[in-house]
Amino acid sequence: MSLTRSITRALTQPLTRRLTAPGIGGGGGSPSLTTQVTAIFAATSAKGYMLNVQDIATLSQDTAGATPVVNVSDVIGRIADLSGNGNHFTQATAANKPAWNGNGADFDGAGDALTRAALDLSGCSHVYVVFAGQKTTGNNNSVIMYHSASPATIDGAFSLSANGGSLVNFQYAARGITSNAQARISQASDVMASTVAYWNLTVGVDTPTQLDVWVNGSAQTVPAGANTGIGALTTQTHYIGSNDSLHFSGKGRRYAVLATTSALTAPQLTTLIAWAEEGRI
Amino acid sequence: MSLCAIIPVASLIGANAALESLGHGPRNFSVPAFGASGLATHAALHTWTQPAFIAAVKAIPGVVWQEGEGDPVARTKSLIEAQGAQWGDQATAYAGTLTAGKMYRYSDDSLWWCIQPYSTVTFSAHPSTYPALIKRARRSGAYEPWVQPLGAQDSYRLLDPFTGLPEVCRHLNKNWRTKVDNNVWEPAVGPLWAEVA
Repeated sequence: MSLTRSITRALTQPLTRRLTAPGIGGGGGSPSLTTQVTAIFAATSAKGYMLNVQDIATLSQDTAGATPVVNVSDVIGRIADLSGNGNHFTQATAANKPAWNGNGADFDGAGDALTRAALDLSGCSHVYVVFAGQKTTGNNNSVIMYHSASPATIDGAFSLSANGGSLVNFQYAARGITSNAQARISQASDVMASTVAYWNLTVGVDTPTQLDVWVNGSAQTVPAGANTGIGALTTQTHYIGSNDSLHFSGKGRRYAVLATTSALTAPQLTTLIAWAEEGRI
Repeated sequence: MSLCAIIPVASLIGANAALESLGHGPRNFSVPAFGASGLATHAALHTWTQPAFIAAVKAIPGVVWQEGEGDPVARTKSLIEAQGAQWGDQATAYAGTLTAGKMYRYSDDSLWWCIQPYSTVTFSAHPSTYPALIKRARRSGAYEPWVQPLGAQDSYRLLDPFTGLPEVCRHLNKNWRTKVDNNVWEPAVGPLWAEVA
């Protein structure tokens, strides 16, 4: 790990705690964390999206955004992107729409998902993947987020999963040209959790030097993995909740992908982690 | 309150077309449920509260449904198993002593149907090593290793009812798509198979 990245990780923990303290980031004249993350997208010209499923104002029952979600158990057919990039997520199939639970979405593990077709992440060297939610049941390796030309296509893709068999870990995978860079972090995914993953797309030497992970606001030790290179990301379909075959059963609150041409600064990264944490608590 | 529903795979295309024609979107029945042949025999769905959609599902001929409260995964799994099928996505991890007639998920996420009980400790090689003990299930749209069909019942079809496309496989490090219906021949360049880039 480079000195810069070590310093970045060392800085994030105390800053995260300060930003998530009561009264910080939510009022008193300070912009909300959501507003601050939106500003990071603008400041860095980040590609990607930002979904706050806890914000009912961003949810619609239909794909066009004409019928708002109003009540608990209303289905969600569209989540508006808050990044400014216009990458709204939709689901047209009635059986695959998750349901509003009053503080996020319930995914049924039987196909519930939203997708954004033709999500352009090209030309970027860094990608940050953000999730807050909980796997509730299921024996499967369930897909939380998945970016690929198709589930059968592996080159230049990445995913975040919650593993089956045991429910107690997250799996971070980026699929390179020759092999799969993969790390499992033994942090409970069967309780409400937040996680931020940072992939350095340009290094491609070994997983710990490519990947940094924070779970519940704390930096994690990434285990050694196969030598690989993720390869360039392109314009591909992005899925949340399922990749058409591996379905997530649980609660989803926040999702974001920021693809950039340089690493975020320490304060920007801290804000991103705090935004994910705000979704967990 | 939510609804789980299941139909035989022979009715899948018609059921999904009927629901789509009513404005409920494509491919509502999308969860494959497997039988002993290693092929999908049923298709299932779960939906949250949507009165018009639920009424439309219940009206489909041949559909079996269950409406109620509780964990969607447990309820959908129970409904699938009541039809004598198994939900591949929720299959038990491949480990320990396997039970005949049960589906297992190998570490690479491939699905296998146990023919005879055996210990994975004693028989510790890849499951494809033991064709008399366990059979690989064929998942729609996945480029999985070609398996010599035993007859028309497990041949490669021109119309996969889940994807609406010809069935595909992987053979000799290449991906293939059948060009004819009920294809039982080994993939090769020619009139029967098309190589997929």
